[in-house]
Amino acid sequence: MLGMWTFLATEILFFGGLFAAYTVYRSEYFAAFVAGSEHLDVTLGTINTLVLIASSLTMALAVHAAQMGKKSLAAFLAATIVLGAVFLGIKAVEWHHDYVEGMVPGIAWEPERWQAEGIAPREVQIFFLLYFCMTGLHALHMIVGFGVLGFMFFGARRGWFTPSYYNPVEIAGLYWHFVDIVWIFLFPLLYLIRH
Amino acid sequence: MHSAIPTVRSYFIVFGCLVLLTLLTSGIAFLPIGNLHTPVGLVIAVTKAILVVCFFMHLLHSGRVSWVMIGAALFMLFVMFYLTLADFFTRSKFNTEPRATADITPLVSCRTVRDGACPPSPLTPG
Amino acid sequence: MSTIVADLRPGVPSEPATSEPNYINVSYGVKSWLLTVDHKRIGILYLLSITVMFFFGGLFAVLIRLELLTPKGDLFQADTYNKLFTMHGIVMLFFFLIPSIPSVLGNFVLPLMIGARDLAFPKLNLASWYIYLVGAIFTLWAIVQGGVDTGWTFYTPYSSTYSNSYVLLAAVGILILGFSSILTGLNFVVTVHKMRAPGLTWFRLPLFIWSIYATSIIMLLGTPVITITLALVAVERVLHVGIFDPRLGGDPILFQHLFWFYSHPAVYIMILPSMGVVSEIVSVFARKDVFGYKVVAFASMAIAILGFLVWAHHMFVSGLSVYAALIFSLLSFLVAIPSAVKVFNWTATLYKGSISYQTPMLYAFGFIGLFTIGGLTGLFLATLAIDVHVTDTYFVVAHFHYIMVGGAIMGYLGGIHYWWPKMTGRLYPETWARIAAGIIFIGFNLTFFPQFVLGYLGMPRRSHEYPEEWQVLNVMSTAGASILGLGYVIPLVYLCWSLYWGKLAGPNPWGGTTLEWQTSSPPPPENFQVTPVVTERPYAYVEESALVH
Repeated sequence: MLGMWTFLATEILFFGGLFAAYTVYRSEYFAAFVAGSEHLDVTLGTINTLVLIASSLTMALAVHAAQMGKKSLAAFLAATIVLGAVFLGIKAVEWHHDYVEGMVPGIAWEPERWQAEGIAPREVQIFFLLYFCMTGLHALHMIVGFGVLGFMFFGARRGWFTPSYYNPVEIAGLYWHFVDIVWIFLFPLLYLIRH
Repeated sequence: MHSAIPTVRSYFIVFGCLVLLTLLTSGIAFLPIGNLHTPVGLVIAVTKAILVVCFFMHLLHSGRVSWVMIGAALFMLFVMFYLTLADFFTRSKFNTEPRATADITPLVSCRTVRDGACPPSPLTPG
Repeated sequence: MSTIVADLRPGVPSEPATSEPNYINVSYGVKSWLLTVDHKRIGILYLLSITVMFFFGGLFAVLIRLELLTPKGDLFQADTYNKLFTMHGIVMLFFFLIPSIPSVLGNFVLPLMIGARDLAFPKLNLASWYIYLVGAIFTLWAIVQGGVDTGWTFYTPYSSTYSNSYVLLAAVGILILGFSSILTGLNFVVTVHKMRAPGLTWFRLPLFIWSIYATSIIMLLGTPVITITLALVAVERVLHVGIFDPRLGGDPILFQHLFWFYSHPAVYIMILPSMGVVSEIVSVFARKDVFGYKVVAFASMAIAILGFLVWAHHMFVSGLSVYAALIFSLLSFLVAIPSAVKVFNWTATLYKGSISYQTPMLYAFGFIGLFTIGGLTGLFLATLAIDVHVTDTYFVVAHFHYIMVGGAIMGYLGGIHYWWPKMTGRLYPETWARIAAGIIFIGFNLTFFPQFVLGYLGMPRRSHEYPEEWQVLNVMSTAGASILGLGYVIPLVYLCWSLYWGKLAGPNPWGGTTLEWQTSSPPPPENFQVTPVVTERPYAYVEESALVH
């Protein structure tokens, strides 16, 4: 348990570097960040946030089921994974849309639309670069989370966990909740930048 | 003091709060509150994070060492932000206009170069 | 505890085994070593790996010093020279110094010193080593392909946009290595919290453990930042976007902030464990309790914490705001205080001690003197006005080599010699070891003291040419480097020699009081036959007797 809390401490600094870069550039290029943020889909972002929070609920319920020795443990773990997959599915939709619209720096980037709005393309590019790096890193962590939760699901089905031994489930839960917390910060900072 | 095992009901209550806070933060984004968007958004996000950490992650029940570990990480994060921004936010305030190259005296001591003028050395990153 | 025979040669008739197997001969075969989860074996695996990397890094140093024998750039082209000093820095810092004491001595000694059977996560420990290897392979691949020429500091936008060298490979290698560091730190922290022997309270821990603990905190909190920063550089290189490129809207100073946020604490990762080793050695070889134990323990933690607050002293001339520069200068002065406190405490430990001059003690003396010089010159550099004059000159190079070579490596060698009997069950040949220590000390000072002078006179670093009048000092430096190189090769020879022909060591050849000396040399796989119980402070020396039970 202490091991996982310690690991999460390192993850705070890992994402922290990106948040620091974000903070610096947001203060320098605020108008461009607003413009970029307004091009992100707040509805999909809100739905995604709710989905991820729901997955945190199912994760907490899974740990609870493990504590109580209930059979619903496996079901809650599966629900968590499914909700996580829904999250990634929606993210994929968003990213595809960004790609089609030419808002992916380095891969599919159209500076003209920004020039038309009077925003410096290179400033907005930093916003989108940070957007993709931060949500990409977050998605990567979710995929790792799927592996961990899948392993727990496998174990739950085989009856590895009892009320006196459910530590791995709780540790997996800590990781998953952390991933949720990162998104809780990413959502307003990326999607809700307004004048 | 919390009971050893949080109830399912408490989880749902926390979930409900989180949902409400999410809808709140998204809704506020459409209001014309100008500069307040950032602090309000951050306050809501921090509140949600605290709810998750305390109730879903049971930090309140974990050993003090875990608190210290997370606290240390948050402190270092704060340091990284604070001192980095201390640089960026005060540059225009304290640094003067860049001078023409001819005005800049060479950083490298010229005593040992025998003949003529010492070339001005460009400022290089430390 | 009976004497264990450590014979590493299969097929050679060994002396009759008087008791249980030790961690070396409990199983044979490459697979038993490559798939081991025994912290002692993993420590040896690291020892071998970092020694190989040390000689790579040393090779680059030799080439650099050869080039600098003459004022003109006649041995190498400027670009090649850039690659030499870059690879010297990268290999030495990331693949030798950072893992050296923590991964070799920390891995081996930490569980023994706290009376534990192994680390908290033995499999993770093995994974850390493999991750280290993968990182090393990427970096060696970068070298073989042609090297990196950006300086180990990877300053942007040169590294992210303009350099034509193999930045991506090296950056990926280092960021992979970061994970090895993080996992090792995690293992150590959890082990120290959770696996101490009964009766071993925090203030009964040996000071080596305190310093490893403080180092682990730095590894945990700092390394993730360099990982993400190098990842961003990689993204920038691959996608040609501009997070650090001013042409594309980025800020190169942001890179420097993020880079140095880790890389300054990294130098404390390199020095703190050495300080811990010195604390142990000074106590054992002066047969005296370390003066001010609690103060030294807190000083280790203070160095770890304050070390995170000073990073921009590497950036004083890069365009930093003057206000920020002032703050960082002040904080840099503060971080010198706990280091100085330690030096005073070691000195006070020596006072009225019963001092013997075995090789570990010689290295400890070398450390104390050379680290003091290095540390004081660090204060010169923390002073804004002086830094403007000597930054990017050989003054800085001399300063950090005094700390890293005169300090950290001396501490490492001292530790290797001190714990060699425990690790191998053999004693190294004392006379040769003292000769080597002397050669290293002389060679080191001859190499780097002239560099202080050169730097003050203005010789810039990272340059393969220099004005003629500085040649004498450079030749002195190169001569010193050859002596130093010789000094490093000698221990390699006699330490290997001692494995087969060294005198057998008993469980406690030095008369130490810490727990690792209460088990056999080499230790059995489970470390202790019976879990030790600790009832008193770690350095409870009594005038006549060596062991205090």
